[in-house]
Parts: sequence; C-alpha cells; structure tokens
Amino acid sequence: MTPDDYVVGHVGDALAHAGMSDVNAEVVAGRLVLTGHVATPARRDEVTTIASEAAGGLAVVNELTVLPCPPPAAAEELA
Amino acid sequence: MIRVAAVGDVHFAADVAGSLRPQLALVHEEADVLLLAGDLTRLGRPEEAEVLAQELADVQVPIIAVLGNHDLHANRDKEIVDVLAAGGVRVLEGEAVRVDVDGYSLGVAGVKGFGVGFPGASASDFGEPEMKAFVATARHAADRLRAALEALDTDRTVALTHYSPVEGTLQGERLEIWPFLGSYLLAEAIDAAGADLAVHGHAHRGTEKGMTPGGVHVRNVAQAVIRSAYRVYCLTDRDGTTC
Ligand SMILES: [Fe+2]
Ligand SMILES: [Fe+2]
Repeated sequence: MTPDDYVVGHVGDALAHAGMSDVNAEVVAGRLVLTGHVATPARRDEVTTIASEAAGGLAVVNELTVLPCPPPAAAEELA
Repeated sequence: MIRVAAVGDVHFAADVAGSLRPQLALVHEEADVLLLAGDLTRLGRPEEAEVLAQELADVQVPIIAVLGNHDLHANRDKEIVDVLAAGGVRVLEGEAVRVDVDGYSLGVAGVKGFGVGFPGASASDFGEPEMKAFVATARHAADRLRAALEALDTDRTVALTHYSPVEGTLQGERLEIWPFLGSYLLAEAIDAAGADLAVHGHAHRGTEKGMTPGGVHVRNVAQAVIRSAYRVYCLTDRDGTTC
C-alpha cells in the first residue's frame, strides 16, 4: 500500500455515489487509470470529472470503453 | 415453448433516454415476455424511472421486473415501483406472476435478493446486530423467493433476482466482493422449489452462464455482460418442440 492506494478508495466511493459502479480505478506509475464500461460518451466524460475531483492531484487517465448496444444475438434454447 | 427476453442493470436516467427504445420496440418479434433484472435506475430517483417507463412505452409484451440496489439508493423505491406500474411494468418483491402465451403458461417469481456470499465464504448471523441484520435480510429474500416459486403452478417457471444465486456467473468479478454480489441462499431456494431458469444482474463484470447445484440454468443478464439490448432464452416444450 502507498498513499496512492487511498486515492483509489476515495475515487471508488465518489463514483459509487454518482451511481457509476462499473468503473475500475488503479494507480499506475503515479497516474490514476480508469477502466471499465459506460453507456455513453457523456457518462465517460462525467467519470473523468468525478474522479479528478477525488484524485488528490493525480493525473487521471480515462480508458473507459463506451458500450455499444446492438440487437440481441440468436435466442439460446434451454430444454 | 416460451421465449423470455431479459436484461439487467440498464441504470437508466435522462442522459441515456432513447438508447434502448428502438430495440425494445421490436422485442415482441423475438420474445413473449421481457424481464428486467434490477438496477433499473442510476441513483434510485423516481424521475429516472419515469424516463425508463417512457423508454418501455413501445414494448408489446408483458414486462416483469425486480429492483436492484441502485433503485433503493434514494429510499424512494415505492415511488419507483408506482411509476413503473403506471407504465405497465410489474415489479416483483417476493411475489410471482403468471403469463399465458398460446395456451402455455410461464410463472415468474421475483425478489431483489441480497449478498452474504457462497458456501465456505459467506457471512453468518453471528456477532454484531448489523451483521445479523445483513444475513437476516438475505435469508428473508431467499425465503420469499422460495414461497413465490412454490405458489406457482405453471408449465415453466423463472426465478428473477438482481443478486446472483451462484458463483458461476460471477467469474470475472474480484473474488473479494463476491459476498456483496450474491447469495447461495437464493440458489438453495431455487433448487428447493424448482425452476427452469434463474435470471439475475448486478455482476457487471461477471459471466453470462452458470448453474445452481441442483442443475437450474442461471443467466447473468447485466447489460455490460450480455453487451446487447437484451438476451432471449427459449424454454422449449417438454414434448420436444423447439424454438
Ligand atoms: Fe448494476
Ligand atoms: Fe446492482
């Protein structure tokens, strides 16, 4: 553990309070790296804003993927 | 046979309005019923449920839902249930509902469920009152699911929860948080009462397919897992008629 690990905890809390629980945060080489999925580009940007406020001055690297929402694949048959 | 469409964790709010509507409008072409496996809203606000209800307005099949933990965040879950009910969504919490399709009946028993974890790594009702309350909540949910399933007398039955009944569909989630993602008590209830399919959400980084110890198919339909508007599961007839 380093003090940076506390940042991960604080960022996780801040994102959870915003209802953005799909985001993984970790400190890599002194930067806060965010990975995971969000529904829209706007939510992706919102995560950067929220995380930056809780990141204690660490630079935030947003690597989140915006999930597409295609039609369903073929039905699965269950006997 | 009956075709069950399902999706969970849509985490709806005004900022994503319109994103699901085109796909949901066509759900009747592929399924006979639509199940929503909780986390319907982002922050548990009735106005978010209102946006979801509008999103579901074009759906031409019965819609059956359970709430998720996000839907309870603002302590306004009763309002959310009312908003969704006004939009034609039946929200289950320890209840069951029957859907008839072409002389064939489907029963859906639903409960949000809760954590505690899985055998060998679960919380016990011991010690602090908070810990006892945690386990009691999980136990109560499982008991209500079992009673709701047992009350059904339909050709096929589905157990609908937000929390996972099994570990199999949690593969991909960090092991440390599994006790907050599901409960073996739910699987025990499903196996005791019997069901053809168990559908859940909540585990966004989990896996779609699992099975209870008693052999009931489990499907994690969290939208981040299924990567589509919904999934369709076709419960074939016992006489062998396929989908
Ligand atoms: Fe969720
Ligand atoms: Fe959830």
